[in-house]
Amino acid sequence: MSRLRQGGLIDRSRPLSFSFDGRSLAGFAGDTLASALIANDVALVGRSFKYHRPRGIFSAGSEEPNALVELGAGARREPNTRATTVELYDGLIAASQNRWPSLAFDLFAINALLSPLLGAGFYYKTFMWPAKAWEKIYEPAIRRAAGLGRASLEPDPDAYEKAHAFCDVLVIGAGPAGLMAARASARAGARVILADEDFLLGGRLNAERCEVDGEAGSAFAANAVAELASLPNVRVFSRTTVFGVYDSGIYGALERVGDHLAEPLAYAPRQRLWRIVAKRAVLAAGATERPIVFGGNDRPGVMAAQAVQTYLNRFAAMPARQIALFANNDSAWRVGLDIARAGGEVAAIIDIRRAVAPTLTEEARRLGVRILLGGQVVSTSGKRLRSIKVATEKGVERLSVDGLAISGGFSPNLHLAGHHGGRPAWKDDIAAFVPGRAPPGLLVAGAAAGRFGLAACLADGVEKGAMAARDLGFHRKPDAPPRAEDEAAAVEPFWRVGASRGAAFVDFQNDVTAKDVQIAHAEGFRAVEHLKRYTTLGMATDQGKTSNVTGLAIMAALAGRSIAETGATTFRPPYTPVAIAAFAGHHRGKDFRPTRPTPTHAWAERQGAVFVETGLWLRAQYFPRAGERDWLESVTREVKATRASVGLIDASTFGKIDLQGRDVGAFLDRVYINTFSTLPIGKVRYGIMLREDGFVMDDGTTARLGETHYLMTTTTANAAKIYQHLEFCLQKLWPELDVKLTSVTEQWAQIALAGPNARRVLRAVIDAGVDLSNDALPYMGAREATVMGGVKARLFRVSFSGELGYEIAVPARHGEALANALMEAGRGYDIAPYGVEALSVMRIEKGHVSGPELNGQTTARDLGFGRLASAKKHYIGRVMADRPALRDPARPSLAGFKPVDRVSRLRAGAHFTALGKPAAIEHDEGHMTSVAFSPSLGHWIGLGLLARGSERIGERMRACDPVRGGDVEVEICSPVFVDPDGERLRV
Amino acid sequence: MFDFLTRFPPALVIPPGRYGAAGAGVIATRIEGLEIASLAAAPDRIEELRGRCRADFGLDLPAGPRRAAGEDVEFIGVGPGRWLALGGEGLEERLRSRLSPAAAICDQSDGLILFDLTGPRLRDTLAKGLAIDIDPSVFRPGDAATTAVALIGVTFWLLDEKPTFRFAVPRSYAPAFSRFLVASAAEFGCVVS
Amino acid sequence: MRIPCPYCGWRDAQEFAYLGDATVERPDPAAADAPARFHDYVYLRENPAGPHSELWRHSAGCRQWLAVRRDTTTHEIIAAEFVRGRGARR
Repeated sequence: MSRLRQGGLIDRSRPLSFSFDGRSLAGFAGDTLASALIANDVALVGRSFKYHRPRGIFSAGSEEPNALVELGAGARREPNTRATTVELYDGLIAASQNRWPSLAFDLFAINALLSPLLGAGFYYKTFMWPAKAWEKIYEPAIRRAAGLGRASLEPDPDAYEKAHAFCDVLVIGAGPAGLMAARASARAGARVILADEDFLLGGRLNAERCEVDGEAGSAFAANAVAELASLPNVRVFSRTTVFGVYDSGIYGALERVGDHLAEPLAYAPRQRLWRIVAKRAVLAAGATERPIVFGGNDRPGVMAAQAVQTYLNRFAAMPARQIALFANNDSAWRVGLDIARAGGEVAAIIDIRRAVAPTLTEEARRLGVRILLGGQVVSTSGKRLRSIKVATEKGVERLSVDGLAISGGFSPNLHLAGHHGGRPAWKDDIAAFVPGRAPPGLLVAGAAAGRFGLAACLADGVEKGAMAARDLGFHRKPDAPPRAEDEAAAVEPFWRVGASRGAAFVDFQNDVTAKDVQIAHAEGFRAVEHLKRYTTLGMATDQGKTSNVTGLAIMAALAGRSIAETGATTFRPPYTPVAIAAFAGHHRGKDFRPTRPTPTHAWAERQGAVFVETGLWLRAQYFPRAGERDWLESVTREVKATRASVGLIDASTFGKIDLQGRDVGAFLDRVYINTFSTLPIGKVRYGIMLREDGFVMDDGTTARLGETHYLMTTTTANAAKIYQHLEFCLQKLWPELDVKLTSVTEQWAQIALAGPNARRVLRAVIDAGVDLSNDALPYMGAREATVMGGVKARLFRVSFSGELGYEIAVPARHGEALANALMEAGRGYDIAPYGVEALSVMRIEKGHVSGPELNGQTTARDLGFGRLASAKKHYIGRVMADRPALRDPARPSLAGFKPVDRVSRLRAGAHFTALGKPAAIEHDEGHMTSVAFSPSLGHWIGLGLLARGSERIGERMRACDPVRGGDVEVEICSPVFVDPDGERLRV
Repeated sequence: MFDFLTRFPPALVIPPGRYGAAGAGVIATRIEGLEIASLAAAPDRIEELRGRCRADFGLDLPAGPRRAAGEDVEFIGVGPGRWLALGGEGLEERLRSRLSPAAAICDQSDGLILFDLTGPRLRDTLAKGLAIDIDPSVFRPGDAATTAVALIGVTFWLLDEKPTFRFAVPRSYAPAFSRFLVASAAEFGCVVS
Repeated sequence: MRIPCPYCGWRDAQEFAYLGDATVERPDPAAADAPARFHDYVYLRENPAGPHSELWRHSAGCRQWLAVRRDTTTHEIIAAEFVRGRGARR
């Protein structure tokens, strides 16, 4: 066991059991999966992405490039989870990934031997030709060999949420700087949110042996968190990663609500995606330690020095028995001293520098630690690290170690500061990039700003927190920062051991080596963005947190440029991966988007309706009856019943816009191609609206209810769009017009009653005294009335079906009662409810255009409405509709089609070519837009857009449908198949 | 998605009952019996309309997204020159007789469904759908907002400091609204009455 | 992105519908050169880098059309006002 007997911030009274690759292991509450594996002496955790090299745990945080595991089982199995961020829970199941048949013996490790062939650009160069082989051979093979974990194929059983939060100051990171920033802002009175990705707040205060205000760092952190949590103006989010900065002070954050449990609590989500709107933010995300590049630097047992320190101090887990340190800075020395003080064996501290602060060297000597100044690790050996070779002035020496802590210096975690296009700036004295221009309202504090000392972090946090609050008008003299010491932090830039042997990794997760960077340089991919894409450096799920700076430093050296000149790649959200389910939140499955029922939904359900989604609406598609074999039989029956006697359908989904005001008539004249100012009160007129570019936008009927009162209907699909268009016309184009628009779509239930017996049925539900005669309420008449004993109603004598028809509108709550009353009244007439399929059949039989014809590419002339357009007025779209190309008579125009054999089925989407011509694009003369089996005619019919269609009645064409294999000879006819003179409408 | 939600068809308002965890973190009550009408005034008639409201209802029409409540009628600002009016029976006629033609008046009693929402965890629940700040220090009783919650256009206002929020939801969106509400309040315990 | 609606206050851009350039004015359809001017009005748009006036409608809020001044290079929202009462009258 590598667990120390005492110490650490784990709860030894709460042992937990878990498994890794089927092995049962034990840990404690407060462990991460990584710390528990280390405590169980598990060093080999996974295989690398490309070369299948054995890998261990490198870091102790979200920057981890190596220790990716499959977490959970069954539907909850999640691949590529960083063991270093997984909070241990009882019963946790984890498995290594990207190995076969086992982690210890992986057949694909052959890739490592092929590594000389598989370098940067290999795929680009090798698999370019032939193209087909790529799809069929190379890609499947590569996908099997290279890769990450396996996702569960079952539906995700957990719930996810999105939520919004607002604050004055958002503090990102709860280390020393973040805690002080949050405290300073909060004490000044600002509304503060403090978020940290860890489950234990405090950052490095929990990982290093330090004192703040005379108490242990971890205790100081716990007290500061407790104070913040107790304040009413502060919200503290642990397990919450702020992953992105967006425009206007919006921050994306992912709260892992239930990831530390075997499954989320009942009724709680697994994760919650926060949109935090913050007036100011303080980024206090700390810094990430960089590896040094040398041969075999990826071997299990090689670990970031600070990670060793974290496992030792926070988790009381010793990562190895004999540990050497290899560094270019002072920080690693303190790690070595911590190990020695905890009773660990430090084989040597190897520093590339020849001079190191005497305080460090003296303390090391006092503890009996061997010091190798001016030394470099040149190679390593062992599947799990067994030994390293160190080169010094005196020659090369082999050291037996099973642990090597490395530190190439620190990169401030400035990612979020770069999300808004900000470019970082290079600072030579700390050999690191620091934030340049940060997003508006974002301040950077502590190590994230390149201030690495503890005292500096605390002071910077206080200052930035107070500054953020002060900007917002919260004035309070900030408290003096807590007492602490600034540790020695000298660093000498050093990236790569030049004389090393073996693969020397820059990007562990994507297996990018120093040699790959050399290849990129040699082949001209020298710009940082090219380097990234050619080698895939920094493109893995860790986004190169540990590798980017090293990679571009190596490139800078090869190109003979400074790092500042070389520049950094662009930072983009998310900082760490976010599950797509979190972005979807509540909107999954049936809740993907709202479902809008019609006012008669329950009635239709009782009638046995089959429903269909039309936009957000759920409408009755057809009403099957016992014995009917398929939908076509039901639809045919519904059409026949309506045409023979009477039928009804809910038409509430059409957009209904109430227009009132002095100028409504004039306004309608400007938005419709035809005239509405002359429409008599009590009349309805069909109208066409164009877009400003001259194409048809929408159609519908508008009724005049009073001198200054009209009611417009739009198509279901365009209801919101037309309302928006009309508002645009009124607010932007013609604000002088007195027109008030109100959407009344939701207020009214509207039922269309159609068929020769419609009047008889309507008479039974209408209140006494309403004259329904053809003279009193003729075709295209409208009036108010009451139905069912006093329910206010509006009657419109309009018809989409082509039969004698009425639309009856009542307040929505009465919709169901009206449907029932009509059914009751129509019982003697075999009344049939019909759905949108029958509606569509009847409109095609009548040649009425709908969505497939109003496709945004047709003009009023194309659709046969040329004569409707008024020449006496200006209206939207008129000027552009007059363009010569839109007046070209050769444009496809509306025509009807029937199969010559009267038997074949027609297909919408079929293209027309002349008889005898091949079905090729150069012979294309138009396409079929809508088809139906016509119960009235007993064969299939279609509407279509055909070049000069309206002039070619009687001609025959091919209707080709290569996709579905159809090739039908059709006869061109009038688009009106039933009652061409409209006699049935006017009876 | 929570399993219990899948029991209910998406076209139906979640029926009365207790959902989710034990307790009553959120209580939702459908309000019936109030009539609703929309008012729209041309920019040059707004002052006239204001005067009539003051004379006939003793109320100052709010100039922004606020609520002005009298004994038998209340007005909620929903846009420049636009208000929702709520009141007892005969509201539309009362408004029409006093305010027409300074305003276009449309009955919306059937177009909007009213829900009163309250409970100790209501703000936490609403934060899951509302993208506006409803912190008590910012959104005070009498404040109103027209916005979207879970892709649904709503108008709501704060009645009191308990807090009780009244939501006006378009009729056809009431099922989706109720599903959002119950799903979001489930962890706190949700009572639909 | 957030937009300060003059009626509703600061709101998320998701509540708004975008239409584009607010500086173009609908030409007089009776003008002799109406076809050419409408062509420009419908199809030609400047694409300035920097502050630009754009039409946004507060669809989920007060339903007003706004002229929003936005810096296209930073997405900074500089100002927003109702178009009603400021646009052309034709």
